[in-house]
Amino acid sequence: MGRKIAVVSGKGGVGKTTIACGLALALAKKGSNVCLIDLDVGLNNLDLLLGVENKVVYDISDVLKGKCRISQALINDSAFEGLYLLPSARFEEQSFDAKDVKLLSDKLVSMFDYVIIDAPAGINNNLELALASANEVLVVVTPHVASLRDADKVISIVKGKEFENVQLVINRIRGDMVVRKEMLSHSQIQKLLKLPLLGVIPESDDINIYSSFKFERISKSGSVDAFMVLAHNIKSDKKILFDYTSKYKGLLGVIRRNLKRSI
Amino acid sequence: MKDLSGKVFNKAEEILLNDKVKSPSMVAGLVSSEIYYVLSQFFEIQRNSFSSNIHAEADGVLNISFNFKANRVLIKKQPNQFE
Ligand SMILES: Nc1ncnc2c1ncn2[C@@H]1O[C@H](COP(=O)(O)OP(=O)(O)OP(=O)(O)O)[C@@H](O)[C@H]1O
Ligand SMILES: [Mg+2]
Repeated sequence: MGRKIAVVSGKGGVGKTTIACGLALALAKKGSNVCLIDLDVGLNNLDLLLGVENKVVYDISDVLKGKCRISQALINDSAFEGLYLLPSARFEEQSFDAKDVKLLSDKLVSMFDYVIIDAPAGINNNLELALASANEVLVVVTPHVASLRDADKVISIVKGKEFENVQLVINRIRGDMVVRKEMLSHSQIQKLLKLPLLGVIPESDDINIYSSFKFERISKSGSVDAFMVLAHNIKSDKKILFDYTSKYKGLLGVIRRNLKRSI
Repeated sequence: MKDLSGKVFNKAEEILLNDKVKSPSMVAGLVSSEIYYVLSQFFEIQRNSFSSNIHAEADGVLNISFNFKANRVLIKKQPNQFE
């Protein structure tokens, strides 16, 4: 039986979709079968991020209404054999029953090693849907007070339910700024939110995560490494920290830091 | 090097704390009725002696205490105990 992991945040735009996508790609790259569920109703963009928007015929609402079979709605990206997407409903007015969505994710988890649920922003009904369909939660935060504050509220909601695992992923952290003490570090954030830290994803200029994975050998993106560490932690229940500051320490680091500052 | 992140940390801690202080009184009311119910199965609780107190400490940890006076401990018959 696979695992069902919801990616939530509270505040919008902090990187839930990016994290869900990067994690799914990294797990697929490690040989797992992964299904991404896009629950961001109306504002779907996982299909865009994965470059499969032209392949979407049916979506989650068609499956829930019985208009098609699950297998008809799942889209596979030929570049990553084990990775499938269940696209979100394209129209905002759709509202689903939490029970139906849970049933669906239970079916999916019997077919895949991992079901990763991209939750919408906010504390609302759709968050409840995402939580109902998962048994583990990743809370995404950025090193900014507004994001921490909303995350803290979501954590209170999540902790009020019975989850096997509630863990933190810090996104958009900048090693150069942390070294200069201009940005909250991972340990400060962890201290504020009191959750186990599963991963850190640095701010990256080439955050089109899909092409970073697809053209990894050419692009040599740091975020791919960070996502591989995150996937490793998920798979083997470890808490290895991706070192996002090492580049900015030592003599070479000083030069890099100053370069970053001047651009 | 000025420690900007330290300042942000303190600010963030303060904000999260304030958010927490707002909800505890509400939570205390909710939780204490549950606790009272459970405790009253084991103790004869003196009228109006039950009080609860929740406050957030500086590091955001909630300090929770329940206080009551009991006239007696209630003895529950265990299955098969007197047979
Ligand atoms: N580590 C990163 N480095 C640089 N840019 C990032 C990073 N993570 C996310 N972004 C950018 O931030 C924006 C928002 O990201 P994303 O869509 O993943 O957030 P979200 O939490 O899913 O948003 P929403 O709440 O609207 O669903 C995107 O433009 C994305 O490219
Ligand atoms: Mg999103």
